Amino acid sequence: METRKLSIGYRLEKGVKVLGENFNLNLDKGSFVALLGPNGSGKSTLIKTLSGLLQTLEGEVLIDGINLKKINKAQRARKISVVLTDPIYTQGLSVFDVVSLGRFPYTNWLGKLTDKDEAIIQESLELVDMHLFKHRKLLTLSDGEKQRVMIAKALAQQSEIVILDEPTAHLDLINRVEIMKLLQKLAHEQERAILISTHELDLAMQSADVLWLMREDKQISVGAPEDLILNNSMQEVFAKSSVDFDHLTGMFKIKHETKAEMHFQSDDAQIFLWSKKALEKIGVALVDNKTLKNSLIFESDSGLWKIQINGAEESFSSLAELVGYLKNLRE
Amino acid sequence: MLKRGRIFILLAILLLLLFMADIALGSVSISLSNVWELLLHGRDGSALSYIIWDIRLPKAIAAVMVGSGLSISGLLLQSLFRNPLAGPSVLGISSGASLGVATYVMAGGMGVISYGLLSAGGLALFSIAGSLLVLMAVMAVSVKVNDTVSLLIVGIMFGSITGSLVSVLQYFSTADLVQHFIIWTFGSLGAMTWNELALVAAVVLSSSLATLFLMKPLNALLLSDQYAESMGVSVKRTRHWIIIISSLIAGVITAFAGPIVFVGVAVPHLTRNLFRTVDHRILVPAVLLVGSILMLICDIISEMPGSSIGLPINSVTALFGAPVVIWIILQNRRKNLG
Repeated sequence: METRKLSIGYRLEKGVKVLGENFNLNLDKGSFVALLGPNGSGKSTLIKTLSGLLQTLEGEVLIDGINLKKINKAQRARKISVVLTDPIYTQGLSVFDVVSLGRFPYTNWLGKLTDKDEAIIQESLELVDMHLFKHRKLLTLSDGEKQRVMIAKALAQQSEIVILDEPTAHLDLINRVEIMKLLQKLAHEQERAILISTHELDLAMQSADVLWLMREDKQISVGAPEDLILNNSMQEVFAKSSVDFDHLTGMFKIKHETKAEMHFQSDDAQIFLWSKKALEKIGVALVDNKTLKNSLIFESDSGLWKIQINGAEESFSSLAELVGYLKNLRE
Repeated sequence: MLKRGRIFILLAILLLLLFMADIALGSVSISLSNVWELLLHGRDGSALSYIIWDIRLPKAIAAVMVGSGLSISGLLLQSLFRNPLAGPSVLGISSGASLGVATYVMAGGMGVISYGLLSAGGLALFSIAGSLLVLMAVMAVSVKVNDTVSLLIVGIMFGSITGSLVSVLQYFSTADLVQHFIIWTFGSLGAMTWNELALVAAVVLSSSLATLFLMKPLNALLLSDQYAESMGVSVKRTRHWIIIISSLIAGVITAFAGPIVFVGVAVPHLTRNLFRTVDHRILVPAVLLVGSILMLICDIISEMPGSSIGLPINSVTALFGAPVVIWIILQNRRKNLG
């Protein structure tokens, strides 16, 4: 799939709301692409435009060189499958029912499943590891399990392109990681082109082959996650006054305002790191500078933090106590 | 699947038995063997043959048509609104048809509208127009609110509006025409002539046939509109067909059998519970059977076999239908709580 000079957005009663202009994108077989961007930047609109559920404003979306507009709905359903954020209205459907709807574009007017269809449904369920839940009703499943079922539905549709709108929203950490790993695996092993929109920056950076970054100026930055970090695109899109992007870890950090500095000494690297993080939160920066008036020492023998501040001396057995003491002092 | 097949066979046998029973039972009871005999040999000029051919048989056929038609209409509306409480009477669509009928009967009776050649056709046309009008209005509102209770209230409101318009018509009408109209509102399966019955049957049968082609897209709509669209369904076209079919059925049935309540809501729900499925490929044929069966039972009860009195069919359907609606609301509540 590729786009040429694609503009996206939606038509309002008065005029047009443009969310992105002049996108020239490529979505290749066997690659796992994550679309990132702040809230309201038009991720969902792009996802739906590429799925054919929304009209393009300008330019075109091409599949195997053919304009998406010229492909009828039934044909399109064989080329693109989607997983949406829509709540599934009928919770009484069984897992098998939902996945068998993926065969919709291939079955006859009655929707009769052939042996081949059944085999594909079974295979799709096995790929997402939900084959043991085949006869369970949707309403008895957890959010993570439901998401797997919807992915199996998309797989059963046997399209080269699979597009997912925020597949990890509402999931807990373990499920988020598992879904991302699953999608990455499916892209690589099943030779499909998988595109997701997501807010999971760190997970996307660790699993996606390519990132699409929606920018505030209605442009889009494309590249491997690592390249986007090296050329500063990541920081441009997401860094705000309250957030710092750490180029070494590829993580975003909350920016804390420093109000005071204190000398700190410890031979233990871990103690040093986590003490520093704990005090950062209340605006105290720990530095290795003996000339400072106030100082903190960690004694590994006693396991105590000893502080010298404004002439007073105190010891603490935990960081929580230390932080509490400093907060009190400030008031 | 085998189990479902068995339920279908049992229902079909039950339908046949009830159909015969409906013909046999009434103020004059006729033995089943007599019924069979008279049906096989056609009219022979006897009083019994008259009763069977001109009263009981058309009434039994009407019961089947009305029961299956209203049930299909109810199933389609429930799938369209994604709401188990939708149905022609609950959403005010039958009231819309009543308005059409009232306009035709009373305004027509006073010569405002010329009857034209085919009065049955004219009546049906007005009734269908009325039901279509209300259905469109409810659709327009449901875009903004689509929770069960709100939609129900909107339906009741449209019912009241059409009701008051009917009252206005009555006020300006003659006593004769008003009485004519009020008797119509009680609902009756026995008032149809063979010609009218043929018209109802033609509409119900062709609509049911058309619904067979909607079963697959209706199943896709069980997920959501956008999912259905992504699987190649034209949601708009499907919605148009549902509206046309369900208002056609509700309109034509209401025109000739009166506003029959609750059948359209209750039958799809009972059927879903009986077959334990939401698959329209099973539900569409199943509601046709269950609807016919229930309507035949209601008709037999309304005849009060052995006595000379008869109850209005409307009160009988309400007696079993209203509790089903309460049951649906309780079930939904439990689902929401759980």
